[in-house]
Amino acid sequence: MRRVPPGTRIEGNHIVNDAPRPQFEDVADVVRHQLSRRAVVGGGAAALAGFLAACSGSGSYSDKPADNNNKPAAQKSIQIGKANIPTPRDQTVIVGQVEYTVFDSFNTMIPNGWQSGAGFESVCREAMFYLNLATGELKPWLATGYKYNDSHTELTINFEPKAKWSDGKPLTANDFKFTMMLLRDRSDLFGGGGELKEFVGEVVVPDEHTAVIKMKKATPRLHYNFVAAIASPPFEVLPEHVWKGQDPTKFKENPPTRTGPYKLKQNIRNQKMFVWEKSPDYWAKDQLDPAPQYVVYQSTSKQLDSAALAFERAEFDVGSIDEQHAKQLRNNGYPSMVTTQFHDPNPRMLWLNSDPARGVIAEPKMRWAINYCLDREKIGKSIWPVEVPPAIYPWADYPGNDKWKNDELANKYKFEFNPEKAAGLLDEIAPKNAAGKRTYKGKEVNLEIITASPVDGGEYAIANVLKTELAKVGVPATLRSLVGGVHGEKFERGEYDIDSNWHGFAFDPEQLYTDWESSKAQPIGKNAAGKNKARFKDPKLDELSLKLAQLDPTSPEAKPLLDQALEIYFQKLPLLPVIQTGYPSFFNTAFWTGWPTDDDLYQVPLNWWPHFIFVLGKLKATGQKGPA
Amino acid sequence: MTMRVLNAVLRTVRNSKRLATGLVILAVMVLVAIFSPLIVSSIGGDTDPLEMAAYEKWLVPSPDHVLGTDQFGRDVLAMVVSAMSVSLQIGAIAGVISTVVGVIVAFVAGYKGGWVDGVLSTFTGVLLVIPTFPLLIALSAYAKNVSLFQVGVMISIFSWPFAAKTIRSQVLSLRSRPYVDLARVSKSRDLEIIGTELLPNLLPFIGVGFASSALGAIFGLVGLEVIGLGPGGVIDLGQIIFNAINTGALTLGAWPMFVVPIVLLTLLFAALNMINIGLEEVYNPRLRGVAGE
Amino acid sequence: MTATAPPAEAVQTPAETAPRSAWRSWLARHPLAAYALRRFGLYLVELWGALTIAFFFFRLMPGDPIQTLIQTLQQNYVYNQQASTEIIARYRAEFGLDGNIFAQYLKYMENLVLHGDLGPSLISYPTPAQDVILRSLPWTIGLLGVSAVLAWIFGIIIGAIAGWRRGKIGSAIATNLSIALSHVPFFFVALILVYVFAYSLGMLPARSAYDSRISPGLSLDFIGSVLKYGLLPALSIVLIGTFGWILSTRMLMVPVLGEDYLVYAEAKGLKPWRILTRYALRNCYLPQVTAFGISLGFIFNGNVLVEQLFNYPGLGTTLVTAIQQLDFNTIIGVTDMAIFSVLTAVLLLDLLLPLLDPRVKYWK
Repeated sequence: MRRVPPGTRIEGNHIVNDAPRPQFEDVADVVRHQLSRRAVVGGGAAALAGFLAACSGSGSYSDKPADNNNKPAAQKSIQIGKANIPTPRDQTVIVGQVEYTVFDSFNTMIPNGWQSGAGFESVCREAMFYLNLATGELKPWLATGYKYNDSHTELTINFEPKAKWSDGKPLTANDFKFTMMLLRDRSDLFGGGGELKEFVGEVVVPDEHTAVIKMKKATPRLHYNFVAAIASPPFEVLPEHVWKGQDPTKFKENPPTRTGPYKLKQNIRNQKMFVWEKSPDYWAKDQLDPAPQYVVYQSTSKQLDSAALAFERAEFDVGSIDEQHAKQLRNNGYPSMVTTQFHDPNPRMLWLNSDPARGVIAEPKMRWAINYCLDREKIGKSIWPVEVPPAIYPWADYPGNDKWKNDELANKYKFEFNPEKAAGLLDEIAPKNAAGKRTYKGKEVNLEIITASPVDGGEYAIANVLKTELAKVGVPATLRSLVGGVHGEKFERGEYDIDSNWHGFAFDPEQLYTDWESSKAQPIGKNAAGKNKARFKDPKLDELSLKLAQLDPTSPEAKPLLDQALEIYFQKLPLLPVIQTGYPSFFNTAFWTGWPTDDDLYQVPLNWWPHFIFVLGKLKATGQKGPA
Repeated sequence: MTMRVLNAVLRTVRNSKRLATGLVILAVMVLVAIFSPLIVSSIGGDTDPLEMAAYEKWLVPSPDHVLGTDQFGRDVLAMVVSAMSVSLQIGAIAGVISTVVGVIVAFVAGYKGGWVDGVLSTFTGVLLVIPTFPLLIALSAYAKNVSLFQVGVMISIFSWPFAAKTIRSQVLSLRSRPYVDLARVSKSRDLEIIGTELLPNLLPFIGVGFASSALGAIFGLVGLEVIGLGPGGVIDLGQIIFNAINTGALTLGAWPMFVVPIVLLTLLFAALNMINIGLEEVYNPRLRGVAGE
Repeated sequence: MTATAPPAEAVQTPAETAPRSAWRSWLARHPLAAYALRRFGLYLVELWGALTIAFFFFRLMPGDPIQTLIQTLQQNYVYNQQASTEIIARYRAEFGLDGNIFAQYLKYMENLVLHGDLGPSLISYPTPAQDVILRSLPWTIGLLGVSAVLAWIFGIIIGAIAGWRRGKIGSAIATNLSIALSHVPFFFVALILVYVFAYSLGMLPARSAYDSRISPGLSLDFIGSVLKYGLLPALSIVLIGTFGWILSTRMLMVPVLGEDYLVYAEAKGLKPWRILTRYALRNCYLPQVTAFGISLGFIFNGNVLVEQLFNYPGLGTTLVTAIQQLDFNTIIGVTDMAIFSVLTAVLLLDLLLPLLDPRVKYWK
């Protein structure tokens, strides 16, 4: 998940994540690290007097007998620190998050007009529907249901009659209509124009609780816009009575009026903190009544050491620690931590440029050669911070996605790490010249790999492993980590051979295939505006995608088409999935229990997703009081 | 000429313990840097210890891995050795470039005087007041396929004004000395005067300029890297420190990743500064009498 | 254009009533005024030059901030749809990124000089960049100003004593320690301080600027909290800064000690302390005042890192955030602010020093 995985830090546009899975811990290793930690205190003090002293102290550091003595690490009690919050600790859930920059604005339709990951989308705003990716359950919330007509040209949505805004006004289909019209017509707003402009004709409101969308073009997928699946849904209902008459490019809506169980109490810029307080007359109290009186979202320390210590001292309930430190705590008998795994909707993927102007990389055989050079097992085991399974299909391994799989095809086009096969394919398309260099159409082969990940980031490391393997089969490559803006531009303009990146979808594979349509491929050097950045072209796939766009993907008619498209993917590999993206979430049980666990993953455990409100709804106070 | 320079160097070193200490420390570091490929391969044996996942990650120090391994399973000692070589090279490249540019500007400005001096001095002054840090951060975003050399060039863009300023003031004071006037009367060509009369007398100050530019360059790069904004692709000591901070290595107990590069950099800064001050003490007539402690 | 306008006005006002030569002779009779005018002119030229270089430097950076932002938002699942070309065009115009670079420059300078407007910020759109900067400025001035001045005072005192008691063990230690450590980056010290005092001993907070239970205001609680939270970051600046000033003070001090008037003072039987403070120190603190003004820029550089490491809500943190998001208006604004303060500080010192020190005669 690009967005704020727990225990990760965003560096510019990069995320740096560290996080092995718990089941593969090496206890002895961690205990040794624990011991060495003691040496740090001494080392740090010595460092002030003279650094060299600290260096010579390394002799005892590697002593092995010590870990046997310490192995049965007793359950130690935790030392609770003083959280820097303005509310009573025992009534507050504290979430550690990224660096906040926006504090006084909650307008999601302008750039940086709101702060994401600060609680607004999780505890204050609510979605019409929630799709729980952990269980596959679709939960109607602000809406009670949706229904297409048979030709997929009309979509009827029913709204929850009890739903109320936090100022007491009822939420109605008119609010929905207002927001829909605003976004349909204003392409200069984020979330505006786009699909809504393409498909939405009129919205009719036969009664307060019903809206009927009359579409310009048939589609069975318009409702995807209203479902919170991966993070927030693209479309959110605004309160008409607040927004009517306001200039949507200027209005800050501070504080925000939404339907959720919490209201904004305070935002403290200098503390990088948002304080949310329970709304006394929340409309759905009978279904959802979270125990915490306050939820505080705060930027965690930029230094991982400091952040991890804050978690250890229970100054945070959620986040603010990475897997490496968490592992250490677990093995040291830290009693109050829950680690919960969840795979990102986007497996890590290599984007391969399909434009023939880029040379050899556009050859399907070249892509297969690269595929054979990709040691997914090794990357999943020792390169990615958490141990993760390899990715074969270009989507996340959620239970709900199993229906898109086709194991027959996967066996026919078997992914394996096999440099010899790679060399064989390469000899066919790019034989070595007299100087021993591989050439393609008279030019020496040299691949340009880019990534937005920093040099020590996961995606960079993946690309680096590939680069080493490619060199062994005679394909030299350059690998560059580029800063967000520079990377973005190269990526959009197709000025790369391989981009170490990620991709996936929320609902069905057609969301992927539609992006691969030839009509969306721009020539190299022209900004792709986010579409078909790999410049993939295949007339057969174009046909399939057009048909699939009109079909309910779960219908029997769609199945053979999906399989054909999948086979084209296997043959031509516009994307090369590498691994499932594993990110663990960390919860502290010193003050609150009831967090989702690996055994009881009742909900997506990510604190910046709208679904997190259901996690808060399950919490119970332990009765622990904060230090005075 | 060569003999003169050599003699001057020997005399200088003999005159200042501080200078000698600095030079010795620096020389040892340079030696390690020169032999770094050998050292690295002897650490690794058959495997390249700098390759990702060469070993298990986060190994504690042991006879096999004296400083342990990092989050990608690279040998920290091998990384530190090769990173030190990179840091030194960057310092040397940036130092040479800024000194050369600084000397040229200073000579043209200081020797020619008049409006040339006015324009050049104002320009140097302007560059001096622009905070270099934001500019460096911005530049590192420009940096696409940065090689070590390019990083050096990038950083020297901002450090030459310092060298130019120091040297210019010395040129000014030398220019008015009688022997230069004499030379001016007897010889006609500016270049010859600069080469034979001014340059030898300025060598120590050029040395100071070089040492401080090199120091500034390494300092600047480390600063960028510590907050994670360094140019990618070049692993120097600062990059390792950033790794350590970024992975919270210290609380994990992997202190060598943090302490060793800091110690090395501190030593390097101290050595360069000792050379700086040693040179100044020996050559600055006002301080000459007080050089010895 | 701005560089020459004010002095030209100043010249013309009297020139309207009197012949040009009269003005010249007036200047000749008032060398201090002539010096001040010339100095001010130079200030404006330098200011204009530095601002211009900064502008072009940042604007020529590759990468479209609007595209980048949208992309980042998409990557973070904050915003799930493709951005239309309308959005991009709209915000390019809003941020002054449309048109050719010279037109952008003229517009930028016009807004800056005439309205003091830096344009909207991106990190906190649509808040103007100057507001974003002004909000974090007090923290930086507090942290950096106080610690830089403290370092300067400590450095001069210790340096003077080290120079005065030359040859003694204490002096040698101070001098050598300074030589070894004066060029160590601030943040090394900051890191070590954090590890020792915040992590290992848990005595002091390692992040933020005050306790959030206390609302900001002029209360003792709040000030105490600010001091407590500011101690570690300030300490790192003070420590390394002091070493630097010790060295330079000692360098200035040592030659002075050989001067005849000090020998005379000693012969007169004055107490050594009195000689040190009244005679010796006086000669070196004025040059150090100038050096202080010039050093502000460097301190700013180091301060960026310290703020970053301590999550201090100051200008440095704002700058780094702005650079990460390619927020040109804020980046250039912060840079301009630093340029302006250094140049102005040096100008004021240059103008005031002749009044403070009768020996300084710049205008000759």
